[in-house]
Amino acid sequence: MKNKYSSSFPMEELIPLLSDLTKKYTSNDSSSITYDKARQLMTSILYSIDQVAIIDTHEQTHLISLKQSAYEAYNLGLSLAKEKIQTANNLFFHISENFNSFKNICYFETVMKGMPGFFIKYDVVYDAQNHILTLDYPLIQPLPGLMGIDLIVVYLQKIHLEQIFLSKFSPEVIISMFSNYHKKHYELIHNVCKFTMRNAIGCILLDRSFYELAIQEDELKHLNSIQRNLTIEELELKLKEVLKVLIKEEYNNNEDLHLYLLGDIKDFAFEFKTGSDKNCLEQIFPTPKKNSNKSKVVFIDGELMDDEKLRNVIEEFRDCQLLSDKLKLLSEHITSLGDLKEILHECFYEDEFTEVFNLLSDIEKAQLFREVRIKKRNSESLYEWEEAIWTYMS
Amino acid sequence: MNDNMFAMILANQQQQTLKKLIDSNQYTEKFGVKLSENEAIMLMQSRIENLKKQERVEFNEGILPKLIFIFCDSPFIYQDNYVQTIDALQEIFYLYKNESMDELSDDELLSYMKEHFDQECQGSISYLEDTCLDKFCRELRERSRGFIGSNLDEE
Repeated sequence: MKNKYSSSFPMEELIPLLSDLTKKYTSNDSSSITYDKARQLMTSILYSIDQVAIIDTHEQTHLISLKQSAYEAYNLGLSLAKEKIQTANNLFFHISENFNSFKNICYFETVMKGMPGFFIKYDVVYDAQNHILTLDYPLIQPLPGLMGIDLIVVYLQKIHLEQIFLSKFSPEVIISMFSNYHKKHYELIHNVCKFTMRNAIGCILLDRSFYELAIQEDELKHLNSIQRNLTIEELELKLKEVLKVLIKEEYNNNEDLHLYLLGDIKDFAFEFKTGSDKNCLEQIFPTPKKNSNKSKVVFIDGELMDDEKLRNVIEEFRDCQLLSDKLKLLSEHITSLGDLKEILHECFYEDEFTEVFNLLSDIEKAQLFREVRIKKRNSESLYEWEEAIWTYMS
Repeated sequence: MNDNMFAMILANQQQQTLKKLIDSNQYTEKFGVKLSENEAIMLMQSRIENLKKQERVEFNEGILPKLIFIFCDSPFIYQDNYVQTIDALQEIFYLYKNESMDELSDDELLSYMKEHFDQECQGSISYLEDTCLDKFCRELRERSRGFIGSNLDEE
């Protein structure tokens, strides 16, 4: 449709437009431009002319019947494109007021970081077809065939619909659902709205409030039984009905939103059916993870002696002639690993270390070993007792 | 840019350019050089080939009249080498418009060419092309902003 309108103008009418635009582009400083630049400028001209065709088709005006010249069509199209920029800017401002990315980095960066850049860099006169952004955040329905400001306007409209849909849910509930889906859900490049809608529909199928989103593991069996006797087509119809009711009751029968979300139902039905057959429904309806039983060991050291007292104890150790006396003193006075390390360094030698290590609990030995390992990793020099525990534990 | 469109752009300009070239004789005769109609047509055909070769599109009468106007008073151009020199200068001009990445306006490039042709090059086209312009455009590219990724980082 778009190419037909601009191609209805003969080349003789388009070349003067290109010539004028080239003059403007080069500020009349250059009589020639490269093929690439000429192609870019001509595409920009055709893009602007095609803006008029969109009006003709959608609003039933009679611009074509006026037999306007290419020059008139271009100027009209250019002003329409400029209006669209303003529309997109207003829409973006509206979206950004309450935008929530639900911690999804791609969603945030595409909309909140990318869009302001677009409005700064977009060149509607010389490069109107170039929308600059890669729009990495995927919509439920892709937007093929659109480019330039047309693409940005439609993209923002869809983002707005998504935000309307998601605004009914508590952000914590959505984030919790995604954390059940993937540990690093915030890094995923996926559509937030699609997963939320699927879980909301899942909750409705389970006769629960759709706000809850979270589906328990035992409820998956019930979901499985719901689709068991249905074909994919029947399941698709059922899901469509549920979505229709949801939109009608909760979103004031928002037809645009309904149409947008319908775009996922076919895939949803297929994945639902396949997921049930393959017994992996939790991939579609992420269930809360069971708490891991793996306990984390935390070592808390005892209270350190004050320096004066420690010095006295060290003197007592040095007075001892027998290892057994030293070990006795150790068990009587030393209550922390911090003090033990000082004593080991000052008062014990060679084979005596092994006897001291034998007195320690496993967790104390592990803590000492851990500290030595860190020193080794950092290529720090080790004391004699540290070499000894390394050998002892290894 | 398809060939059909390219040919159409050039065809639109043929008569206009030819007239301009013949008219330029009134001025260049003062310096002892002028073009016959055949020579003017030959230069125009050469222009088309150069533009195609360098993948450039030119509107209106192009660079030829301006090139003639600027170079006709050169002490190294006389009637016997006039057409060949203008032809060669035209080829160099389009080549170095590309090599300069369009950072130079027509006037800037022409005035650089004229200045060096008359002085440093002593009328040598090959010295102008291979030494002066080559060095000039290389320096120009080195000073240019680089590829867009690095600029974004700086911004």
